[in-house]
Amino acid sequence: MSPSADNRLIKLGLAWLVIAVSVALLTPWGIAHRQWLPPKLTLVVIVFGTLSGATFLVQGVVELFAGRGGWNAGVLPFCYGIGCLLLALTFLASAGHPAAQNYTLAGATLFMIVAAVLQRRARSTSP
Amino acid sequence: MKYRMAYAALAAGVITAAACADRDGGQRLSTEPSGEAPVLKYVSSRTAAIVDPKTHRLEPVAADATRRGISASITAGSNDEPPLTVSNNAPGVARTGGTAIFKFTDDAKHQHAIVLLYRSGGGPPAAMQHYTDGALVSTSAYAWAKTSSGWIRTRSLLQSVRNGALVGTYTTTTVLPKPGSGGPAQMVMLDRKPVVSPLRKSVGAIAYGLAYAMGPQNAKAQVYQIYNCRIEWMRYVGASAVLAAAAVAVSAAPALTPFLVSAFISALATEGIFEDQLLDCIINHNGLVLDGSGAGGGASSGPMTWDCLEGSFAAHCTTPFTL
Repeated sequence: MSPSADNRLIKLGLAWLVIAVSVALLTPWGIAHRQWLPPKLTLVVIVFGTLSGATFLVQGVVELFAGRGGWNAGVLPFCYGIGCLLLALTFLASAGHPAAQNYTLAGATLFMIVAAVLQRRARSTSP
Repeated sequence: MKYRMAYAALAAGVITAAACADRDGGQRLSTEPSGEAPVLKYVSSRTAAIVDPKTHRLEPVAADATRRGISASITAGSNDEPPLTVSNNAPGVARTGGTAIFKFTDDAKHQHAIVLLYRSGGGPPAAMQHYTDGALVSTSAYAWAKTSSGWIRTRSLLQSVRNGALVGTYTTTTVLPKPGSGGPAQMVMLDRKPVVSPLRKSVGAIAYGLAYAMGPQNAKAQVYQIYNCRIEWMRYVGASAVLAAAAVAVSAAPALTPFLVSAFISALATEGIFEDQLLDCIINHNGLVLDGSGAGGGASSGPMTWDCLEGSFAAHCTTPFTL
């Protein structure tokens, strides 16, 4: 088996492993072993925002070190990442005080707008 | 790139699925609403006096009388009402300082929020704020004396607020009772007339609206709130970054080795552990807010400035709790 085929097989295995774990949590067996709470938008946003933000930041670092696509390619994920983290921080703070959302939400909006502008510029300048 | 995004999405999916779950018999079960609403006897009185709008003189009112501008809670007491005592383990008694919020909706579909403020040492609430449909209605400050079985309220100050303006105050003072006897309460007065002029009402409404719109007023308190789970959140950010890096390594590696696979799985497990710790922290500190409109109990650890604990209804004391 070639390295690329081996690579693809393991990736597929990992993907199916994650899917299997996710589905297992939804089965009666999984429910019996875990106490379910009603889904909370706050928690979901904190989890998704943090995970997405960290992923974008890592992607930005990789793009900067790889040097592909110029500085735009690195700054764009950074903007998205910081925006996502600020969004998660907004909900983390708002769990205690609703008014605490203002600063972090404004920051998240700012970074998202900058990211959108950068993306639009990158598209318009790309051949 | 598409593999990376796919892994990130899949990992996020499983992490999110875990976010909505809880261990059987774990600590987080205690955050579920207990269905046991606290008994809040926050005002007791024997007599009351208000300023007559016409004569501007203090006039005593009967305990069961109802006057315009006076909250029903003020006149709810009876002459024979004993002094307010709270046992050590009574609902509403906190172990540490912070705030607790109780929300409910009445028959007229008005949403009420009761905010209890606690001093750093815990105990009964030092102050209470009552909001109706997001607007502050009254604040109360209490002084408590420790007894062998709990606390006894020695003083209370209620301030009735309409449209951000003070319309009345009501103070009770309770003398520590002798064994077997009830504690007398000395009743007080409204030191402002209950009827507010239209100009003053408008100015108060504008000022309160500006204070609300320009919030947050107390950034320091917000920082403390964020700091409640800052360590857990930072760990989760780090674990997420490690997981993302592992996904990048997996997708970029020319050949997947057992080391890479185990590293990815370890990163995923670490992510789950730190996420669990973060969620535990959030729920433990903010369970009441997360529970929404249901009745529940508990105290968060956000600090309050001294004037808030004395019953102040300044913007920095009330803005965090308005809708």
